[in-house]
Amino acid sequence: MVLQRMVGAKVVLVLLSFYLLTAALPVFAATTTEPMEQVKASVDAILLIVRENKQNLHGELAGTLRKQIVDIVYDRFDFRAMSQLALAKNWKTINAKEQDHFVFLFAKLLENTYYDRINSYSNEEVVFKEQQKKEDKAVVSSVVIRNNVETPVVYKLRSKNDKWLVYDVIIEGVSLVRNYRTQFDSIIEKEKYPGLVKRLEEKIEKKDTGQKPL
Amino acid sequence: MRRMKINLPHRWMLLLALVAAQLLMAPVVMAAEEGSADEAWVDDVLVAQAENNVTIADPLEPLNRVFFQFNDKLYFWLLKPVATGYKAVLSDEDVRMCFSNAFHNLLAPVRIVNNVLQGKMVGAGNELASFVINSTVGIVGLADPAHKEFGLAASDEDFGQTLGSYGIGDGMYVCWPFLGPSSLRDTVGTVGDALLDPLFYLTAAGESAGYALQGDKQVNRVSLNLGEYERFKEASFDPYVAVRNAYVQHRRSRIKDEIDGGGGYGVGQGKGVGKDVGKAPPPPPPRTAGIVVIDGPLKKRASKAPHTGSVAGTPGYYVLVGVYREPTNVERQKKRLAAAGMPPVVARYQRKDYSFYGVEVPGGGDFIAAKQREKELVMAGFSETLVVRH
Repeated sequence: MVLQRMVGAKVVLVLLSFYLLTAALPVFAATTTEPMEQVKASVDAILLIVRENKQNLHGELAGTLRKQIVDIVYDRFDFRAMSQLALAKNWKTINAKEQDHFVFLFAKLLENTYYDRINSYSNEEVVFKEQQKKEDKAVVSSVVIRNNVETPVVYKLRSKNDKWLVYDVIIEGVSLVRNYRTQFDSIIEKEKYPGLVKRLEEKIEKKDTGQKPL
Repeated sequence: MRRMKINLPHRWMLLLALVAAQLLMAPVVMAAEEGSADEAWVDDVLVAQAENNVTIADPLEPLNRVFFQFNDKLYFWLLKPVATGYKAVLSDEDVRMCFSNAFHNLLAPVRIVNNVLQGKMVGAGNELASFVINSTVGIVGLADPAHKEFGLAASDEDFGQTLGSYGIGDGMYVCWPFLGPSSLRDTVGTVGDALLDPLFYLTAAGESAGYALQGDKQVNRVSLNLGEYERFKEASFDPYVAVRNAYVQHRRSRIKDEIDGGGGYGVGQGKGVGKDVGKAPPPPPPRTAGIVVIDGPLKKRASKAPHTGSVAGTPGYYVLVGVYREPTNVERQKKRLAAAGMPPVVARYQRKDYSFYGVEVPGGGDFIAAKQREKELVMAGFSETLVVRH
């Protein structure tokens, strides 16, 4: 019983701190209009959750933690713009419903990929370096440092209602959106658009049921 | 005891409800957007990306795919198990990082020579100083005081990048067995660099130490990156295409020095944007800046010199059906369009240090009408289209 109470209290405490954290986030984000500050706020919030709950990432709180992190990601990424850029000319060949569906699938795929990264976190440091701004576009560069090895990560952002949203991530010079575009192009060429949707759904389903690919 | 059993679920519920309410209130990014304005924005980005496209010819694709599969199996069946065992024995990652540093240090001649070949004297100096410091103070390169203590910037250049900086293109994509993705140019580069690699001479001389070191170099590298290839593969749909594109993008940005010191990514076009250092922002230029619609004859080749011309032509929407540097290509596309009954205009796009021509069919002042026009063009076989506004 004592043990149960302790566990209960701990869970309540953790949940409470999450509640306070998410409640505080929009306020923090609203205090700055600088793209770098805004991206940094999101990244720092995620790192805070990951560092504070390292041992719980796979435990009973896994679901709650994932939701917390994913919400921050959805708040900072413009998945619709990313979908448009990844589909490029093919975006215009599908109807509005299909477009919404695609945004949902692509966001889910990126969410899974991103969360995999977070799950394999091992004390990486993120240092933000500089920003370049021009009208409604901005580029923020950062490096992820692990064991003294620096990996440059560049965020491309656009301003929407005073809020900077990420529409591409460039890791070691490789643009995520462009990389997916070449893959999507080659799939659509061979299997048409429905084939691509099928592939996306399969990949997401495989992940959700916890199957290891190959 | 009984009180707690009843109380605890209640506290739980309350907090869960609070959290749930908070989550529901979080803005959903995917909500419907303001249609056409958004599309115009995306088109802008796509035009900018089309300007420096990252594609590579791959006539050997069937063969390359075979070797890709071979390397894939090599990794999963041999390299990964060996590296995992190696990692279990040498569990201290710091030790393996030291080996990695030493192998990196051995390749300093490659970096120094290629910095010089590219006229990067500061980079060459930094690499030379790093080599001297790490080989002595850093004990045969095991430690990296040059970077850590002395703050010397790395300038990682190879012969493939040198050739690229001389304006030599990729050639075509090659996926070598054992060595992995490369291009014709970078294959030549790899051979050139091998001539500056001490390990190569050791191996070529048939020394068993050479083979042992080469083997350890590969296994050590894999042991430090276990899981990376798996995650990359898992996130991709066609790993072969994903690796090929990632290779080309990575090499292009290395040649342009966007990563490892040097320039940096520009906004949008990747060109002509100053650093944002706290001074008052200049007034935003009109959307038409830098675009000139041309009626007369074209210059021999779109010039590299900055150009400030006034904007001609009727403002409105245009359907872009191709971007070119060569007037002959412009003329060819113009003829095709004229034959299809949709005579185009030619717009000159001016970026900071270069320019190019866009062949465009006027779409009128109405976005919907322009989209309709675009549809007709697609039906007529012009697949690479974009609606732009200027």
